[in-house]
Amino acid sequence: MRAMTIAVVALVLVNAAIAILRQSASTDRAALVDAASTLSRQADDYRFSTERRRELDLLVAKARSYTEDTRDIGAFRDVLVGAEQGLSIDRLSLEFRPEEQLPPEFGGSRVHASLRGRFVAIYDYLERLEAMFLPLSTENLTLRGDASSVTLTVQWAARWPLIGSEGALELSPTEVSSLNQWLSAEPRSRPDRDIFSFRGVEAVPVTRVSELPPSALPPSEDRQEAEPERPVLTGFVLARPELEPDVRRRVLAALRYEGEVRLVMVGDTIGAYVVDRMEARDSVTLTRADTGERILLTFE
Amino acid sequence: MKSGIYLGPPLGGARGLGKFLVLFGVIGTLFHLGIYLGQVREFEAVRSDVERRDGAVANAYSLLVEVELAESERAVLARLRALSESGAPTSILMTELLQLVANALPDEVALVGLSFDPSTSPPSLLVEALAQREQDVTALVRRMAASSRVAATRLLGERSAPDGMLSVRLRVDLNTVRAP
Repeated sequence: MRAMTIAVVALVLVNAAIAILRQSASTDRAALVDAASTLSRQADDYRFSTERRRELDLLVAKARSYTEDTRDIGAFRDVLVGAEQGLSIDRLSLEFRPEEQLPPEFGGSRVHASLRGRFVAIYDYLERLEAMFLPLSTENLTLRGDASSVTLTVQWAARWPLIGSEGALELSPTEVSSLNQWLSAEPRSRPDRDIFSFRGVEAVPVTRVSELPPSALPPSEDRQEAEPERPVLTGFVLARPELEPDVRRRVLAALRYEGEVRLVMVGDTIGAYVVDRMEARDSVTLTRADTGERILLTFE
Repeated sequence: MKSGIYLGPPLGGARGLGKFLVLFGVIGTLFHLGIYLGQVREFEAVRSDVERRDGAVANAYSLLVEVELAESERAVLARLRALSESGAPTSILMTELLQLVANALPDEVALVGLSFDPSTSPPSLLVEALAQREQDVTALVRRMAASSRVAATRLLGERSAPDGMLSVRLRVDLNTVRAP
């Protein structure tokens, strides 16, 4: 009888011990399940961040190859002027105006551009700019055609990062995606007609002497006697000297010389000529250095 | 010979009850023990899962650290930030507008002017053109409206010029997101 009593008591004690162990195991298990879900979230976060970073890495690599480094207004000016090279643009004027209310980490300017040339040349100019993926957004654009050429008037808002703006490196997933899509865009083919002329009566391109191949020019003896090449007034660039260390004047003349547009100020030399005087948006007076002959350049 | 009546608990019944209690206790204990061992197995499974996840977190973190951006990449990133801030990636390309108009223009229609204003909602194009015949104007409007980029077209004016040509003004509202 006593043995049975002892056995029952022992069993009760064993059961109690097991109950305590079960309770403890249950608490530990709950803690572990919590830890597992926290770790799972953390792993997902890290994985997501890693994927985003990889996507960002790809974007950075793509941007490094495709985008122009327009880190200040001078770079914009050079890119916008340089993009016309070889396109037979008759007139190119640019005006940079200050822009108010910019985010603190960005510099910016409004750019008013006016270009005149054949439709094909204007189209190719715009296509070149688009292929450079510039931080320019079009605020308005007008094209007007006349008998032989098209005039493009466009206003862009330009942005560039200010040096040391480290706080501005965050890009949202939406921004990364739209930038990726934009940088992957294929160039579209040029329209097969001049949309400012009826089909079949497109304006005939005028080739300038400076664009002719050497074989089309007169023999060299004749050319030796010829006058030095005269620059042609293409337009004006109204700069912002406060932001452009390489520019000391507000008004620069865009002169085409030896096939490319050069920006000059009063006192600069271009070929055999010195820039003497400038009437903004109107004319430029040049003096030939060796003879003192003065020529007045106005728009053709 | 003495004989009497035993008044204590029935000896056989007490033993039976005791046996029953012990048996019940043993069964209960085994049951409890079974449940506990099950819990221990489950606990071990959860613990190995936590260890696995911990490894995954460490791995993901190491990858994250490995791809820290270099200084030159930060400069490109700043450029990308400026690109995004400018709105260029989401704006309508100028060549796309010209291509759109070129595709819609019948042979017998020539543009006189084209204006694009992205600030209106939706962004709009104003097309000024000369057409040789009335049906060319209809063709222009129809072709323009057929483009996935175009939300609506509205003929603002049409008049005959002295030379017999038709001068038309057409407003074209554009979709900001290209239809698939």
